[in-house]
Amino acid sequence: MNQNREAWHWHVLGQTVRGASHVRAGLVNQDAISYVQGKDQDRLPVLLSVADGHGSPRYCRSDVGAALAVKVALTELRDASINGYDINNLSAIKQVLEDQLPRRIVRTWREQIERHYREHNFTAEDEAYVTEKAGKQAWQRLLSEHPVPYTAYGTTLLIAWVMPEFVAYLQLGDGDILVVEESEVDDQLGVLPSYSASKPMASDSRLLGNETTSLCSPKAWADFRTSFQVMYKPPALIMLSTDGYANSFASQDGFHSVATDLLNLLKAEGVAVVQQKLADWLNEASAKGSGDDVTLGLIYRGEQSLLPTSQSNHPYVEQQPAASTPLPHSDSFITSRHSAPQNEEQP
Amino acid sequence: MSIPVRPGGEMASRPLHFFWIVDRSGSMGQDGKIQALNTAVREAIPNMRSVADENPNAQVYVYVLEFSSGARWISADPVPLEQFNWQNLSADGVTDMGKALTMLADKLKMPPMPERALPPVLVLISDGQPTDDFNSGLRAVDAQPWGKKAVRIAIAIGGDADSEVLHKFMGGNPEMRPLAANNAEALASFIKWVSTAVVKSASAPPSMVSGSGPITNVPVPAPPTNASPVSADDVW
Repeated sequence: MNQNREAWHWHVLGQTVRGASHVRAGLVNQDAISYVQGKDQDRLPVLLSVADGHGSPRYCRSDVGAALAVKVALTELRDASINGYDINNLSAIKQVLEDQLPRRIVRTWREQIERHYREHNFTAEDEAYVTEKAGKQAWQRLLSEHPVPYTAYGTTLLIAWVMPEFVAYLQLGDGDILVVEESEVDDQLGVLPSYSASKPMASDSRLLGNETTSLCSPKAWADFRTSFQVMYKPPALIMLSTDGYANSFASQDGFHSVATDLLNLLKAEGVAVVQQKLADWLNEASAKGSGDDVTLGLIYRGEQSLLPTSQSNHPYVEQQPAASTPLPHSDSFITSRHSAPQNEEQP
Repeated sequence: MSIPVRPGGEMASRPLHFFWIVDRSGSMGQDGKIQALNTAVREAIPNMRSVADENPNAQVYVYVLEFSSGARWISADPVPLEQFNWQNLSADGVTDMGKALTMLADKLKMPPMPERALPPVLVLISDGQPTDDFNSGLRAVDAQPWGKKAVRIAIAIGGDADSEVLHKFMGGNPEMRPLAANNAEALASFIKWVSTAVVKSASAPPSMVSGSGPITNVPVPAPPTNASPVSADDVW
């Protein structure tokens, strides 16, 4: 009997930087990032979330909205992982992803916003800021959202969820999810791996210029795009980024090559070195490119090895047919990593 | 396998495409209107460049589309603002505004407009009524995604300008009307405003929820109030 199983060693890393134009304007970083991963040797599940708070003046608390959005995303996916589903019924999981999760994320986010607003009502500074930048009418419109001005906290949200059996993506608003997959190419030297980046979801035609869909919209759950892929061959790299990054490259090909280049860098230099360099790369992108806040999250499928089956406490290794297998208790997750402190000065 | 120094290809600021769509029909030759227009745009260029310099993350490209009997692009390709010079226009012919808008719509397609561009700025200047199928031209612009997202400004020169047509071009929103230039001073003031304040706003438009903008998707500052005529003879 085979006591070992092949498994990958998954890594998650990321960074967020305040935009060059935000520094000039004295604005805070309105992006956020958060991620968690399991404590098993393969470090699964992995949950990664990034968010981009809207920049127009009436979204005067979008940095808070974004920070809460990434926390809510991880909490809801963690709950779904623990309580959610029968791993032998992947189509049911897909239904959870496409319908229930967007609704739960929106509902919980709104609850968090309500709590924040109860504890931090609008101030004279908020009124002065919105009125000066967007006019009295904009302020009156915010106040008319009674009892809670969700608009002030508006944000996008991107999520990647990696389980041993599947990979899932959810996206609301602008930003990019890229996946690098490995194929094999016959070369004179033999069969070599080849990598290419692509998007797992179709684009949303509404997202052009500076317009986006948002968590603050009345039916935000209907605007989520989702993708679910059974893990026949896991992707080599998953990349989530806010739109400040893609908008910094002269061409789409130039941006897509970020993903394949990062994979090569991770393979050559390792996770710790790449994590250390991320801030410099993102700051360079903002300065030379879009000027916007830039946030990047990566899920990297590291090396493959044999893991002793008996030592794994991951419930999905040994599947019980037609049984709803509980996920590791939430205490088994390492502490999540949240966005960088606000007003962080660029080097 | 070569290891890159940093990930990704060439980086670049976002392009902002600015279109002057200018009526040079025969009536523009009366009362010094075309001369005032030529002077106003030429004199606004240094200010436009100064404003553009304040935002290094946007690269402004300028197009000039003139129309009278037919329509023509002054240069086939967009000109970087740093290299842009205004070529004096002369007045002659009728007012084929519809033709101009149809040609404009072709430039707003993707490609040649890139998806990563900033919302374009369209400035339509006219002193009369269209002599061709304006509605078809407007429909062509509205059919383009970048046409829908563009910042649209119209300047009506003189009392014979068709303000309703120009208002339709701007989207018909009651809160934004065409700017009425009844003398050279007012025209210069409006030209300067679109070249500076509007360019500044369009160079760094903050993100917002699709369809939620009160007037336009790019917040545009209030235009200057119409300058009073120096004398009754100066009113167009």
